[in-house]
This record gives sequence, C-alpha cells and structure tokens, in this order.
Amino acid sequence: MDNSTRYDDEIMRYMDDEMTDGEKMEFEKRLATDESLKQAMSNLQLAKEAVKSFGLKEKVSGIHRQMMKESGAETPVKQIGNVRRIVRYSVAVAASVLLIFIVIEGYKFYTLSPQKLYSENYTAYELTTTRSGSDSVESKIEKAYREKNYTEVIKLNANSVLSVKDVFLTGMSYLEINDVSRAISNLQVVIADVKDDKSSVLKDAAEYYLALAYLKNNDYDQAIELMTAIHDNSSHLYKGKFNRKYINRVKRLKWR
Amino acid sequence: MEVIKKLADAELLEAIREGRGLDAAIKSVYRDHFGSMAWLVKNNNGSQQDAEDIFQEVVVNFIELVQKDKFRGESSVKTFLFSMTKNTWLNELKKRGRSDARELKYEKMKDKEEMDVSHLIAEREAKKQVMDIVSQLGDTCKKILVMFYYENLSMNEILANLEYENEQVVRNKKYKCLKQLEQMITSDPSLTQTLKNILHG
Repeated sequence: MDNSTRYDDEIMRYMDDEMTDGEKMEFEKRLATDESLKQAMSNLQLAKEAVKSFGLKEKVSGIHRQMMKESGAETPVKQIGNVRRIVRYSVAVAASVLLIFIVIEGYKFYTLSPQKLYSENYTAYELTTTRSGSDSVESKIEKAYREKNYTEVIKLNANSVLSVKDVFLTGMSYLEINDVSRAISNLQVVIADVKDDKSSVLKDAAEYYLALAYLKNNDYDQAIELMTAIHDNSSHLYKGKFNRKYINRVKRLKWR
Repeated sequence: MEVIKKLADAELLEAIREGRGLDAAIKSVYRDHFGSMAWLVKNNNGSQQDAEDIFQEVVVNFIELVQKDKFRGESSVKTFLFSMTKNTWLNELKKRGRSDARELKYEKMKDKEEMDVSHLIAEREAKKQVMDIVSQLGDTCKKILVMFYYENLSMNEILANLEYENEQVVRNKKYKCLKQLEQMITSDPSLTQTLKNILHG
C-alpha cells in the first residue's frame, strides 16, 4: 500500500468535515510534520477542487444558455439581419426591375400611335398576275396600280364601270395617297360585294386593309373588331398579321 | 415570473461569496456586463461565439476568485471583469497565433483602473486541461462528486437521486471516483504542479 492510499480514509474524513474536533486537531498536527501525508492530502485536494470548478463551470454554462436565449443572443439576431438584408436586397432589385419595366412600358405607351402601328403592319398590296397585250380598262387600272400611279388609278376609276377588283385597287390607291375615308368606303364596297364568297382572296385582302384603314383613321373600335375577327378566323389569309399582342396595343390607343 | 433584480457590486459579491442566490448573481452579471464585454471581444476581431465563450470563462474565474476572497471589491466589478475579459481574449488570440495587430489595438484600450490579472492567463490552459479530465469520468462519478463537493448535498440526499442500496455504497463509490480523478490528474506531474500553484497561490 503506497502512502497516498494508506492515508486516504482519514484524508477523506478530514476533507469531508467528518472528524471530531479532537481528530481534526490531531490530523492537522501530523499534516504539519508528515510530508507524505501532506503530499497525499494535496493530491486529493486537487481532485476535490477540480470537481468544484467543474460544478461551477456546468452551472455557469447552464445559466449562459438560458441568458443567451432570454436576451435573444446576437447570433440569431444576426441571422435575422441577414434575412432582412436579403429581403431588402431582393425588394430593391424587384423594385428596380419594376421601375425599369414601368419606364419601358410608359415609353412604349407614350410613343404608341396609330401611324406607328399602321406602318409596322402595312405591306403594300402587289398584283401577282399581268395581262400582257390587253388594252382593256381593267388592265389599265391594274397597270397603273402596278406602276404605283395611284392618282391614275383613281382617275380611271371615275370613267369606268368597275369590277370588284378595280374597286379594291381604287381603295388601295386611296390608302396609298392617304385619303383614308375614301379608301374605307371602297374597301367596304368590296367586302359587301364578296361577302358570300368565303374563300375569296380579295375579301381577305380587303378586310386586312380595311382594318388598317380604320386604325389609320382612328376608328379603334372598328379596327379592333375586324382585327379580332381576322385573328380568330383560322382560314383567313391574313390571320398571322394580327396577333394578340398587336391587337392589345391597338386597344391601348383607346386609353390615350 | 422571475423577478429581475439589479444587484449593486457589494450585494453581488456577497451573494457569490456566501453561495446563496448564486444563480441570481450570475444572471445579474450577465445582464449587466455581457453586452459590453461581448463588444470588447467582437471589436477586436472576435466572433459572437468567441465573446460568449470568453465571457463564460471569465464568469467562472470571477466567481472562483470572489469565493476564495481574492477579489474584495478593490475596483468595480465592471472594471475587474473588463480586465479579465481583455486578458483572457488576448491570451486566446496569442494561442491562435494572431497576436500582432490585436495586441497593438489592445494597447489603445488600456484602462486607468486596469488591474494586474496576467497571472490568471498562465493558469488558463491548466484549468481547461483539468476540466477535460473531469469530463472523462463516468456520468455517475461526475454526478456523485458534483453533488457532494459542489452542491454540498448530504449522502442521504445523493442516495435519493441515485439507484444505490445505501449510503455506504454511495460513500464507497464517491471515494473510488475521487481517487480515480486524483490519479488521472497526478499522472501529469507538470499539470499537477501548475494546479497546486493555483490552489495555494
């Protein structure tokens, strides 16, 4: 048995305050002179103090957790801060994008005009067939139209008995020289004449140009109605000319 | 609902010294001083976690010093905690090998009332080491020893908390546990000597 173990029982009783006063005095006397006892006592005392420190550390640790929770320690606050920062950043980006969108749309709305929409969509009507060698009135109108001599077309119109096609070309000529009212009248005549001919190429062309003529003449309701009808007619030759976006832009003109 | 009482320095020291109302005293220290001490650490390149760890360590050391009558209110508690926090954090920075710039910054923070607590820094590692050793004990050992030596519970009270036949069995267990701990500590002579210096210093 080494010294430390030999002394353990009485050291424990001394440390745990279980000795009588007499035993205690006797023990302390020996402690002052017995180096081995002193050493053994000192070592066990270290272990006891270590336990006390450990107990205190555990207590403080428990209260620390409680206090951090109570005060809403900065770590979660930081996290909230980060979330807030991200939200703020996102809102700022979204607001910027929205602002840019509004500015662009505003600019588009401001610069929107019937003339602009008309020009975007208008394609001059071109005759695809020629009547070589013919000297008829019709051929003269067609020839004049092909040569883009629109005033000649209109002049010939006044002196002739006209076919539906001639009326159409006359309407187109009025459109070319910006006499929109007369263009509308002629095109309406064409449509009325061929209304029962559902497969008429001329009818589809007349409707297309009449819709544009209404637009140019600021007759938005009539333009929208006709454009929508063309768009909704799957067999219409000019269906592709009036998509929803284009029709919506025409509708916007009404709000200006 | 818990009543929050702000303790004056004298009341605080008395509560710690006497061990009565120690929980309330520790909470008071946290409420009154954690914010400024955390600022001190974070303002010197520490994180929130660093601030919490350092303050926890400082509070433990502060209580031990008060209970051993090594601090009797010569300066204000705040000044004392400031010095301890500053030195503990400086020590930690040194340990991390990042002392250069921080030390310079600390020089600017010198307090007229600053106390010499540098001796505490040398003890820091030994204390950590011994805490690790205690942690290595079995759970039952830790419970018995802490209940007896820290919470000052009687053998009878400890018996009520543990599944042992009688007090004598608990007493024997307590002896074996303390003996085991003693042997674990004294197996490192250098650590033993440092701890003895702390204990008797």
